[in-house]
Amino acid sequence: MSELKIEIWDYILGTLSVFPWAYAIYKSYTLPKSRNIKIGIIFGLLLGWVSTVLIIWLHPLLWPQTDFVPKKKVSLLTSTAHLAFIQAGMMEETFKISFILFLSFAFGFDYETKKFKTESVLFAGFVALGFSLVENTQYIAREISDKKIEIFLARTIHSSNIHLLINLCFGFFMLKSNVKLGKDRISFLTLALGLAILQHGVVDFLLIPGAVFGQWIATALFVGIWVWVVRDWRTWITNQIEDKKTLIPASEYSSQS
Amino acid sequence: MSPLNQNLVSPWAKKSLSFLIWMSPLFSLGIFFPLGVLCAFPRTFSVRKKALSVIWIYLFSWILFFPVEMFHRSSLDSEMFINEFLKDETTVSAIKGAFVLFVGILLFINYVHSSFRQSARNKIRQIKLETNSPGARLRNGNIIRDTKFDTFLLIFFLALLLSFGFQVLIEKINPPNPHNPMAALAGIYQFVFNYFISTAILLLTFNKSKTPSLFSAFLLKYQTGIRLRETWKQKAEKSEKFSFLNEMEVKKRAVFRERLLPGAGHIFLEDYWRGFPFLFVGLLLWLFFAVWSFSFLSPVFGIQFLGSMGLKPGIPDKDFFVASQNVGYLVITILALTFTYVYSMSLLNKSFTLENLGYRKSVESDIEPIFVSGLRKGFRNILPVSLLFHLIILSLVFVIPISIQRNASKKNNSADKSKHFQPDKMEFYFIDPNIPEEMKGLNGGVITGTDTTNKEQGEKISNEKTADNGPKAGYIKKIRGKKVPPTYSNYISAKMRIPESYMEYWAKAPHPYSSVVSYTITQDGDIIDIELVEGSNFPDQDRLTLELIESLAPMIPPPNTEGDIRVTELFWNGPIDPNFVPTPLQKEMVHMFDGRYMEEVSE
Repeated sequence: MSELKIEIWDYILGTLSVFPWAYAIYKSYTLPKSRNIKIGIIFGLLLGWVSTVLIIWLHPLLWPQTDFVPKKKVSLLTSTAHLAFIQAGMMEETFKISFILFLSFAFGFDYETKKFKTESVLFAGFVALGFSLVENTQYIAREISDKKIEIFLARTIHSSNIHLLINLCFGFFMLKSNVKLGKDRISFLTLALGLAILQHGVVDFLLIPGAVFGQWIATALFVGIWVWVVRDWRTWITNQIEDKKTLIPASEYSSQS
Repeated sequence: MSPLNQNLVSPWAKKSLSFLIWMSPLFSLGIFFPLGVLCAFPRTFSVRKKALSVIWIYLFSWILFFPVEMFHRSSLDSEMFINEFLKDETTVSAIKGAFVLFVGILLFINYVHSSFRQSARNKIRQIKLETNSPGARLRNGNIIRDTKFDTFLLIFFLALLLSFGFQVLIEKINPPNPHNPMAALAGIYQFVFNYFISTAILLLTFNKSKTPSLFSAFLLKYQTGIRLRETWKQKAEKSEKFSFLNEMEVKKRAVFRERLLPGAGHIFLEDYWRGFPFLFVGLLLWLFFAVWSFSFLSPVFGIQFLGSMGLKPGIPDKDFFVASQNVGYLVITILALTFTYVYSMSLLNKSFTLENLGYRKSVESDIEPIFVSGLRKGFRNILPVSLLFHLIILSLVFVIPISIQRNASKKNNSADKSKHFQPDKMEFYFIDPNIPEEMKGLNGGVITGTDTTNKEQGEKISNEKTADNGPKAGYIKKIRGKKVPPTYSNYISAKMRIPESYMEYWAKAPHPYSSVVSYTITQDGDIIDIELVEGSNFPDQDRLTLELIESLAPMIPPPNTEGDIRVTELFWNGPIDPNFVPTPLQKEMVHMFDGRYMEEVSE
């Protein structure tokens, strides 16, 4: 298989495809942004990048590329499910979430109280955006020049966003795990990883066969996750500012979990 | 100022949300993003009214165009009638002009309405002013834009320009397909939709914080309901009392939503684990109701309706055709739909009983908590989720995506083969409505491919002269067997039309394109052993060709044969000319009926 040639325009379009969302979550994070948080964000982008590179490197080892020869009795349903849940969902989310946890333990964990800090959500978002940046650049580079803008728009609106939302959702689960202890906490986070894989898999699975009906459900799910994240953001981040003026944090009595 | 009126969303977030709402149709987010905004931002009225206007535009366009689309899909006659009617450019322009005029009239009524309201407001102010400060003059610096005639004109004409811009963008991102039989109708729909959206963008942007006068009463009433609910929610979270009359106001609004769609009332009360399952069950049942109704009128219509959403029956065609004439399925669907409405409504009413609201002592302990998130225990809470789960499983049996093949049947069930229902008249089962009228029966040829210069070469192929239909038996893949009557070939061509159209197969194909694919149709109607015999230089299109073949299943089993059928088929988009295709095999196959050669494979 020939080496993919990535040009400067592909990198520019790839960067532009994640920029609006990076700006949006950075600006929406109204809590003070310390130096550590800013370093964590940069590392988040880098680790997102690393996770894509690792997946691209591992992919041919796990699923060796074969020539384009039709297979006997191949069902599109099976291949779609494999692609959506295993190749995309499980692989991508496992790598991203491993890096999110690593980064959060490094910069966003209070070892005294054993609680994740709010900035973990921001790190989760930026790992996802770092991942999307490289993935989008690759997809844009593969496309013929006539279709680059079309793929850029699709990756910007749908792909970057869904990566971001799934990982933000996981980030909030990290915060929600603060009230749990020991094994309960580990199983809670493992279930959250399972949910991320499921979210990724279901959206991809419905999109890949290309049925309008499937696209409707996938878009509805996508918007549903967005609403969930917006409401969690309000509870766990926006209301933290209000919490400073009150004795009971908003997050203690209102949760989407 | 009530805390519920506080501006919780920053201006930049509002602007970004507004942009995404207006662009949601262009970004393929459709009606879902505006609906999401309604759920995520209950208090931000300025954003909500934009989301509502996009939802209304979608609903209005669907109400207007969906019946026409269904009529178009109902039969070949109606398709030809509409396409013939829209063939003339002046007719299309007249229809578009009528819509522009309609919007213009609406805008003008809005201007007049707003002017009257403004003058009425001024009169009241003037009276108050004269009472309080006699001789003082009324200051009126902030005139509402709606009341200005030049604003009306500006919106009216600027909307045309904006919709033209949208049109150019859409055509750039998603070029129209001239081979699509819906192209003419889709063109008008796109224009109307773009013009409505453009008008809404300009109207709401120029008016800034003011709602368009014509709709302000409704919008304010709607937002009052949301505000009441939010206040109740806040009070419930703090375990404070909420006025009974206001609770009844919320109930009125919840019941209204519930009547429109089951589950909508529960969603309004933010009981998502009950509301969404009921909503999806209701929507799925409405889909089934439409499929059974259309199929009862004509099975072809039912398949076409499913095809329009990229779906197909999950059961073999012959079973679907028989089932579609059974009114029992329709009755069961109506009963299920009625049950869903009644049960969902009765659960909603339980939330508003005097006992539940704490105005009367409860004799039972089955209190319905209000504004409590998460899945609650108890039969009535689990039942909606369970119903949805079972209905999804059932739906996957009957309806599947067009591009997916179900390998349900197994081989070596020869005992069952004898029980297969073999139609006396194959014509009944030919699902394609595009077979030309002048052909008697269905034994004639249907030309596949596009840009065919010589249509005469697609003429009838006699049943008797099967040997004329292809190379000698066993030439391809060295499989020997008897020839299959061309009528089955017609059926394959007809069946292929729906996925071809849906996948925009020929629209996406590069020019020139040619490839040869081989596949087996089993006695159970499955498609197996799909093989690319000769690929092109376009792997993407080759892959699409294989997906197209795979999407054909389940099919009617090959008639009058004991074994499976091996089909070798040429896909090309040029003339019926051997010089057009590159390989000897393709040069030979180009003259076969529909470029297809079939033979029975002995087991």
